[in-house]
Amino acid sequence: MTTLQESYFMNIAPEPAAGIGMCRLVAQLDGEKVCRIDPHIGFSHRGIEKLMEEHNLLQGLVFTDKLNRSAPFSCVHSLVLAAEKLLGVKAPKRAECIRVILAETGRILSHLRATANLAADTGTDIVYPVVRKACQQAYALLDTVCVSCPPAVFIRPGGIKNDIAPQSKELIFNWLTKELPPVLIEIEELLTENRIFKSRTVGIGVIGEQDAVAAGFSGVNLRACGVKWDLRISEPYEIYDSLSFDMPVNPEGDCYARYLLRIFEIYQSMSIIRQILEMLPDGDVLLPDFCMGEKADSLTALSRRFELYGTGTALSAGEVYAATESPLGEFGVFLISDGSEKPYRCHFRSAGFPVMQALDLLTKGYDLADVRVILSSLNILTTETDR
Amino acid sequence: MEVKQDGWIDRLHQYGVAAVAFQSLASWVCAQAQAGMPVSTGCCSCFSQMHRAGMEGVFNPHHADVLVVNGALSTKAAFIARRLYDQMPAPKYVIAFGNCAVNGGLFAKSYAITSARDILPVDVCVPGCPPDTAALSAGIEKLRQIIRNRIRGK
Repeated sequence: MTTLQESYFMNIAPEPAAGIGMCRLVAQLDGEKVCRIDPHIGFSHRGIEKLMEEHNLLQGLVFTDKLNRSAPFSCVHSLVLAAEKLLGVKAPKRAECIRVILAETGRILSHLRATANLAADTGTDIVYPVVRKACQQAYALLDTVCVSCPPAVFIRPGGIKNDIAPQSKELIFNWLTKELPPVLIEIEELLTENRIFKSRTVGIGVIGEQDAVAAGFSGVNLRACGVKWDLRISEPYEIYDSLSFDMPVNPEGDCYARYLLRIFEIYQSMSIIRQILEMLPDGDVLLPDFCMGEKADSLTALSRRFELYGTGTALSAGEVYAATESPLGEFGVFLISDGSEKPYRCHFRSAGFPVMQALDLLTKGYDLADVRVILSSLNILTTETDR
Repeated sequence: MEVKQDGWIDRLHQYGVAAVAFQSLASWVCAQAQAGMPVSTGCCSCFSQMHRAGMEGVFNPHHADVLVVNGALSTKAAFIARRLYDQMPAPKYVIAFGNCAVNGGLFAKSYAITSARDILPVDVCVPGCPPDTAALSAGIEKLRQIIRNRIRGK
């Protein structure tokens, strides 16, 4: 380690790695070696938490959806669970099942994107077109399943907006069995045993178990250090406790371990969706109190609908924290309500923020060229980190 | 002295044949192909869409003709966008891609957002949340029209 006079500083900005968003890293270098990295965040700060206080819950869903662009439904899911906890309601079983299907589809999409970004940063650009095609198929599928409803407002407190399209069961099954497996096989053939990819990722960006826990890691980044922690199993929400799936862990803690875990989790998500499709119950998808549809036959229902459209659902006073296992890690929503329609305070526990603070630890001692590989293997999104 | 500029004949009288011919050639070159540099702070990231819409994407302001701003510009990012714009060689143009870049869109009421128009001379706005490739295509064609008209003195 050289002294401050001998080393020099370098700005890595405005987009230090593929698909991460705007962020600035100030690297202190000794030749090619990184001595210290200072992440500057806040370029994507849009003040969403403050905006949430000025809008009612249904409007707030739209803001929350903009946090994570690579995984639809993931951030909204936490907010909806928090609101339901506060209101003391529970969505119908069918709605919960569909929510989990959509959340797992979002997880597959996000993990595919993360893999493509990592591959691009290690010099394997060919994965991009493969993943883009798969993502287009998945978005077309989501469009059909949700009956052309935008993802942001499909999941909502009390259930989901409308029932999924009648043919969606066959469509999703077809996607899982015919369209997705060839994509995964192609990605694995391109990357898993690729000598160049392995030389860029194996043993790079290693972080120990204790450091990761101390920094506040969650999700894939934590499980890649050998910690068994997955909110879907450790603190199950929705219907996850009635499903059987594995929690893959890898004790290596390097970029390659994170890549392997993502691929493995895609297979787990596929199995989860398949299990739910087999046991999907019939029934309502939205509690009648939250229904904004055409069924307003009585005067009470009509006035209730008017209230929902005009002001929104009044939250019961209190404070609540709800978290889900989003593809980037634990995404939590902390809501305080004073009894009005708008939350008094809303705070997001973003998954990328704790990872950002450990960036110095992760990159210390590695080459400058490894910085972007490490960054994209962590799958940080600045829109989610900066809120 | 007031100079009237309402057609290429007037400009011919004013500047001479060689200068006008050079300007026309330069404008024709400018209007044919642009290299765009995306500045992305939000959800509609447009790099792949730019390729499909017929604009080459570059990641160096010195190589770029067009700055494509997408996503809501926070006050902190606005300085970066302005700095990138200042580093671009003239003639340079700005496209605001998406509602958030045009006027703040969804986040217009937020304390942290600056409209792209306040800090950059935006030539073309492409609305949408997010805009599709056809809209960007139309925006690029509009930009070419603006370049041609500007040089013709319209």
